[in-house]
Amino acid sequence: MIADETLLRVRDLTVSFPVGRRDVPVVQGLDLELGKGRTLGIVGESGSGKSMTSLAVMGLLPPRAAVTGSIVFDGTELVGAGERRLRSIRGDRIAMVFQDPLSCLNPYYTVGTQIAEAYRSHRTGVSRRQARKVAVEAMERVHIRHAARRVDEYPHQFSGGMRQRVMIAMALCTDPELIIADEPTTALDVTVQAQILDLLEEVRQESGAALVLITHDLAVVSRVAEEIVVMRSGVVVERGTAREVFSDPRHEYTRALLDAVPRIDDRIEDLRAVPRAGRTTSGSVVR
Amino acid sequence: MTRFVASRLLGMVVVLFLVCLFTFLVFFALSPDPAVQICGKNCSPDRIDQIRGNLGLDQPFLTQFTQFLAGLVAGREYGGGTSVVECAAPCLGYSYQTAQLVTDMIVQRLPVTVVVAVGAAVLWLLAGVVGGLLSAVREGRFADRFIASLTLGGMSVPNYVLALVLQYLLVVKLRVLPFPQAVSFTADPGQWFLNFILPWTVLAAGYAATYTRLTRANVIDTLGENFVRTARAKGLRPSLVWRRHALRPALTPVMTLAGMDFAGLLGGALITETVFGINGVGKLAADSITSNDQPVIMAVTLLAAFFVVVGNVVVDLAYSAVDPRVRVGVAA
Amino acid sequence: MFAPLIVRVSGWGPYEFDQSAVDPDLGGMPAGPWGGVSSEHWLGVEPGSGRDIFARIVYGARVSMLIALSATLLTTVLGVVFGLLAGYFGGRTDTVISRVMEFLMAFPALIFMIAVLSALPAENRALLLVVVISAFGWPYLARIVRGQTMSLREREFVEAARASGASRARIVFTEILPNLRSTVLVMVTMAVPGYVGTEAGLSFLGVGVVPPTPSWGQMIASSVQWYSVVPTYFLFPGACLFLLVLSFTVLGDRLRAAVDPGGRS
Repeated sequence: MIADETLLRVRDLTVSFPVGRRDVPVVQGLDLELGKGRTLGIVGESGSGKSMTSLAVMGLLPPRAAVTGSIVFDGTELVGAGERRLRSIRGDRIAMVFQDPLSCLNPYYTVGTQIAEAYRSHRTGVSRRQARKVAVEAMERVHIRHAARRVDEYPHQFSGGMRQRVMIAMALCTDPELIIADEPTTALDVTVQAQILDLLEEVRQESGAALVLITHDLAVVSRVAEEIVVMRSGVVVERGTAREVFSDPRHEYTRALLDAVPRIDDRIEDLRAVPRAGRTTSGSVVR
Repeated sequence: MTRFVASRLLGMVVVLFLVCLFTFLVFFALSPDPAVQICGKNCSPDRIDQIRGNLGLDQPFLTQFTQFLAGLVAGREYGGGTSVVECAAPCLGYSYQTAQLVTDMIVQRLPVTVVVAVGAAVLWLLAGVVGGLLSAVREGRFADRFIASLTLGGMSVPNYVLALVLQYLLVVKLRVLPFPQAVSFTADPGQWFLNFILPWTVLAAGYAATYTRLTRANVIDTLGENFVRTARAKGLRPSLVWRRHALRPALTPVMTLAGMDFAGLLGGALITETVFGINGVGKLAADSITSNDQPVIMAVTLLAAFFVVVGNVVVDLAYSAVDPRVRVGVAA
Repeated sequence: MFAPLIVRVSGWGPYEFDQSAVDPDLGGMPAGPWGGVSSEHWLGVEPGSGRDIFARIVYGARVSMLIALSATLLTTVLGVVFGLLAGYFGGRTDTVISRVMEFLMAFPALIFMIAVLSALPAENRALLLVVVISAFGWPYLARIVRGQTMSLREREFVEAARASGASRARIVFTEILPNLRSTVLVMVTMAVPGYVGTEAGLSFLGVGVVPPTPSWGQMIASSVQWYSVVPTYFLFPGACLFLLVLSFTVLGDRLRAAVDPGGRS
């Protein structure tokens, strides 16, 4: 155990996939550090490697992906660790909330069964009754009303926002130390997005878990994250506290991302598109 | 739920009625006068009229049809005077050629057909699911390709050709299997079982191929589903991920299809039973075609339609019990 | 098409009897090994009659293919027309067509075909086969065409055409039909082997093409009583039938993979 309060430390992480005969890296030389109970936002467009990073931490990358570097979670090295060991951490101490809750929930089982599933598989001797109780409690923690009744309902009976609450309840029920939320609000209505973000923040404070929030939307991280990492094409282009990044973006790409976020005082013609990766963007702004 | 069942049952009755009407119409319009056939060559017009009267063939179409329906529901009587034939409740008609009640003929032969059908269904489900799983797990590798070419072959070989080839190779040339002998199950279970191996295989072959492909495709699709990823992210054991999150969604449609195919098996049994000389309903139909015994052909057609329609409804109901989305979607 | 030519080369017509090729003392067994395969009769002769199997296979292919292709054509026309009507116009048209399709698909097609064909007079069997096969075959294509039309109808380019004042017929023929091409092509390719098999099966059961016109199914049917002594009699037509169906199945399979790489329906 390292004495300091670091929970997750990623060093020089590289993930690559074989394309034809070459290996194409999707994440390159990534460094991350996350203290216990802290919040980190990883921002980038689709294809910037942010989701691959989270899957690498979970050990859920497809077998053909090649991973080098180091991921240390609470003193345990995860890169190259055996499947059994990864499994004991995954879903118990690190939990994940995915995008698009409908497709992430199995339509054949009640939400209660699915919420308690991780709990039952990581604790021994959990009875059906206990599992149900755990599920109801988790649902109450994410403010699903009539949890005791709805625990026996199926995913399709829930609205989009409620399904994402179910996903969060699922992540919560084992009291993990780290929650990774990958685009948790992208598939939701704008009004529901804010509620889910507030819920994530509330849950984090209440449980003391660390949170990694992955999104393409700067507005989302600005609401929750303390520290921010901006990724592009598999590489970190900017990092710092939320305040630093927002008030003084050093990298041009971050600036472009920031410009693409509409503000209330913006006039329509000032909205700017984010320049495409790979093109030199010396001051050229696409209107 | 009750409304759903009720509406399905009502639909079933309507379709069956239409099938009856349609079949009856076709036979009424197309077939040559059965009375002439029964009577034979040296026949007086009086005799023909008498036969017509006995069988109710002198009545107009609508009367004949209602009589037939009434016979189905409540039973009826054939003939008149001294020679009255009683035909009890599900009365499917009277075979002129064999002078038997069609219902009796079918009931007598149904058990064998059921044995053939059930055995084939078990065989093709086993082969299809195992083959499909193996293919899916080894996607793109040798085993997958090998199974894929087998399934193409299985889909392409007509079952009577397969029957002849297998019978020639295994029974005549290699003598692996004995010639079929008429034994009952209780008398000699071993021989009885050997008798049915070839019919089961032949009837199952085409279905097994289709089911292998379906299972493979479904399993591969399901493994790519997000909820399987979620299950893995929970740290579940791989066996549990497979069993609970991959197999159940992947195999439910396979079982649904199996129900419908099983219900429609009478058509396939016809050829298989004919080739192997098994005295079931299929062979009965084939024989009646040769001897042009119209009431029997019609009865078997109706029976087959009955199975298909009932099978569809049963599968629908079973599916709604298995898949929660359908269940609630309908009740709401 | 080339059947007469091919048969001319081999030297025997499909209806010619060659009594010298069978041995009357053995109950009409073909003379010589392999069912009488010789330089004269390439694939041997029929037991009993001594008709040349090669010639009958060639002619049988012509009959089988003619029936299968005509049935496919008729099915395609019916399926596309009714599918388009149901899918494009929706409403009552759709309800009626869908009901008819459901009804036809609930029917035990094979048994009913057999029943109808057995009741019908024997003349012009080929035409009857085509009609009966198509009558029960079109709903399977129409169902898919209907579904695709319904989704195409809502697409932007159709909206655009409608907004620009194109007539209904024009929209159907120039906007929707071309987009159904690949689906129909695949379905048609898959239908041919099915119908070849159906035709052969019906002939095998004795309700298809009537003798003396040769057909593969019928040849196999008459070979049943000889199968243990003259295996070549069923092997040759059986193998031809298998290979023909197989090649169409493989072709359809490849086409589907090419047209729709992701789909596995």
